[in-house]
Amino acid sequence: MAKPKVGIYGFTGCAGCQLEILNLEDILLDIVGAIDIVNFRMAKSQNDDVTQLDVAVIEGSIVTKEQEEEIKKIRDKTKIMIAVGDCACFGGVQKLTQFQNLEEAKKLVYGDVQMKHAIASPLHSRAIDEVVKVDAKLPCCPMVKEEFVEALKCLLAGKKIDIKPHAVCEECRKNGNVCFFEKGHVCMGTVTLAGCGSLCPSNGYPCEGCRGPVEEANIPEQVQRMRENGLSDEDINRKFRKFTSGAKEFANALEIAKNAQATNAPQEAKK
Amino acid sequence: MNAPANPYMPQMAKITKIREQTSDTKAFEFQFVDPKVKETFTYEPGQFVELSVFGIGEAPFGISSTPTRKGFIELGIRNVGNLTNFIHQMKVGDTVGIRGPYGKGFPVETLKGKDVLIVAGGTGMFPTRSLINYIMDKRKDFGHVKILCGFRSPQELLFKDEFDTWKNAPNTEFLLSVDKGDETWKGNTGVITTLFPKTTVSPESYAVIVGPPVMYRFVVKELLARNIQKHRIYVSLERKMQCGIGKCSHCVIGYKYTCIHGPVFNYWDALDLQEAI
Amino acid sequence: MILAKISKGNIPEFLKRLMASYEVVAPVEKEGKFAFSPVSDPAKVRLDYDTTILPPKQFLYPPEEKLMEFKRDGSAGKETIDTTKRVLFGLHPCDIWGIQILDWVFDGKFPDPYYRARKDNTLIVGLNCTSPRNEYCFCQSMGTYTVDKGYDIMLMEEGDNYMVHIKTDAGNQVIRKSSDLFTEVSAEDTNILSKDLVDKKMKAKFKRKLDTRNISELLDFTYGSPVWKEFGDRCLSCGACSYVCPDCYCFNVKDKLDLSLQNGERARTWDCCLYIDFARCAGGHNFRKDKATRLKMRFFHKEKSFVDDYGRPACVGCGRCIKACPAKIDLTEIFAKLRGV
Repeated sequence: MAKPKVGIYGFTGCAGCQLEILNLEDILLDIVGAIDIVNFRMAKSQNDDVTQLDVAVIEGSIVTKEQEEEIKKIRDKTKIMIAVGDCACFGGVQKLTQFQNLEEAKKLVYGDVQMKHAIASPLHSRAIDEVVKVDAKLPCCPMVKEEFVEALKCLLAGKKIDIKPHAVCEECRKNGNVCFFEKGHVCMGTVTLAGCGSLCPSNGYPCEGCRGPVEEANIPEQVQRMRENGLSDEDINRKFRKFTSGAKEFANALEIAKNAQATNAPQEAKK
Repeated sequence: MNAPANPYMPQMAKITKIREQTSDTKAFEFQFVDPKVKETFTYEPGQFVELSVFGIGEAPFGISSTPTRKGFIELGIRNVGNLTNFIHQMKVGDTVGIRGPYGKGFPVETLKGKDVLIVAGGTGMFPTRSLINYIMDKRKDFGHVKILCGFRSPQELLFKDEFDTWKNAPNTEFLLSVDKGDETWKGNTGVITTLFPKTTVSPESYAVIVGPPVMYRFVVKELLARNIQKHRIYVSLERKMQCGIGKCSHCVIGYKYTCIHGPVFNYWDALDLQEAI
Repeated sequence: MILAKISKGNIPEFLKRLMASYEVVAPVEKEGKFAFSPVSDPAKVRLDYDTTILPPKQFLYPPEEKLMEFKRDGSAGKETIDTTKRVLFGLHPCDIWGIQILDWVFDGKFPDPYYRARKDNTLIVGLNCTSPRNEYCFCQSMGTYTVDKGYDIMLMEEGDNYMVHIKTDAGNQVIRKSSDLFTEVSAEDTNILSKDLVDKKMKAKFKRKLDTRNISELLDFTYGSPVWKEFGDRCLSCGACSYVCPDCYCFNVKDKLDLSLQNGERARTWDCCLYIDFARCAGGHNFRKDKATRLKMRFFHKEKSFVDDYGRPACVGCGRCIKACPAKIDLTEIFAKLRGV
């Protein structure tokens, strides 16, 4: 069987996810042995833009017209497209501009610097699947390299990529950590998709929600817990939106909580 | 084989025959590699096995062959997920792992000498075919047998090459319906319960129902209307069985394990489980 | 009944000697709480612990456990069984009960060789309780405040000493090997011990209670109760309650391959019935779509299924789930509400 042809591309992001691939030092040679990387600008000097791809790995979000054209071209020649990292999966931190005026945001970041090229007229950041079809998403900031390898193996073996719809708490509890809520802190692990191995909580930091919402995340309960821990509405929005404001559950957490309360209120009154 | 030291370890088996059934369903025949296992492996109609493909996974499948025909087992497999998709690409001669048989099958001893009504919808045909052919092979042991089958469309018929054998068997009635026919379809059209007015069901019958979750309630209603008592009705329930041996708990219904207390339940017991039907 | 006595000062030396032939697992401090952990330094062992974050089940049934290794060449798989010699040291009666209940599940009709091998290679040293260890304990309600089997040695605190109940031959053998650390029990000692049991143990007041009378029937008749939705709405489906439960044992089985795709392993990992995909089939049909049904199912299984099958609920009143739940769901409150009190 011919080795599957893989292209690894970076759009708007910090390149940290691509770096994670290179950080797979111990097994990088095995990976290169199993797949044919035809395009990986970050790591290769000779890249092939013509060959049809079995798999395209996409990092970064789409913020310009030019990028939109480019990702469409990649999609056209690709069988399976995987978005890796929060920028590609959700639009990234840069998606926060959606809540304000883009010109003001630009000014806030770059001041009066005159910019050339496409970046002179950026658009709001978009996740890859807002532009083209994506077959699998591996969120996290940066992507989890072990999960990437597992996904690769699944594709090679003809298996579906299996990311369990469980909260970070699953891994955190299995690791025997003390719950941050028990310690009187707010943690986003309860509403965030597992798969990171509860990296932050296991190292003494509460989860920041960087893997985005878990399926059917209980947003109202989480908002309630955050309020009980003294967070203001502004704080709550910040916590939810930080990494994955591209996910509607996290972008609209307060509204979701409010609506749930409104639905439950008549029942409460009856009691 | 029936009481191995490690119940999680599958026995290796080879695919010996593949019969296409529908666009997404095939019947696979397997034979165990170990001649001793091949010879001694036996089961009851209605039981299931755990089928694995190393590296891909493991899942339960109702056995559709009958223990009266030895040396192989046959499983009907619909391509609905990861493992089944993989198995559908496998060929004769490929190796899989099989462990089992597990669960409580149809109460063949209770059914002996009685009139039996079998109602099978869709993939519910897989385990019922085991029972039907078991009865066919021991025809004299049973009373009148009525088989009602329902499928979504004429393209979805399962084991249709055996329909004539069943139809022509002595003291046997075979009725077939599809939810939606096409221009070539001359048989009954409508959900499986539309077959009931076309026949008479003796209140002394025992009934076996296997089908999609939604089917049970409607069929049971028909049976109760024909004065078949609840304890004479048996249902085979489908849940997300995984370990098959009453540990992993994925298949628990109410307070029973589908994999060890079922999958075949007496309707009376199933009612007690509240969330069963 | 065979009794002995060891002074508290001799416990570190006893632990040290155990370490020579066993992996010793004992309660140690972790971020102001306690955890069962393999120890190499006896000074770290904290027998004054209240409860641990995870129960000791992880050493008999780990969060992730390899079941077999396989090659994809048509050959049979190779089972992988852990036979590490281990001591679980300082288990409270509730946790010993917890293990006994796991025994019922993992033995049964199809004995689980992985669990059984670990259990057979494990020596259990209990530590008696004479009062609630914290505000979450409700073992008195669950009949697990005391335990009369399921351990090899039981330590009973008595002033500067531990009275030692040697329950099994395996327990006796390790004590005989360190006989210099133990002394004989005098008539006065047994007197004090029995008096203590009456005075302290029987008079202890547990604030938290769960009425277990006709619990199986109660669940049957409150199947449609709005209480389930009330608590279900709050449930985060995070799984914390299951993972910290001494008697939750649901698992998921998964195959892993290496990059050559030729070799791999099959492993089981702890799973939880509150997860959305727990009863969702390959075809997509979900037998328990909403949180309330899943929460109800958890209690049906633990408190009804077990009463029917084994005569007692699969809950030992350790209170870990109440403490661990980020949504503050308290099963004693659920059951009180189901009873309408």
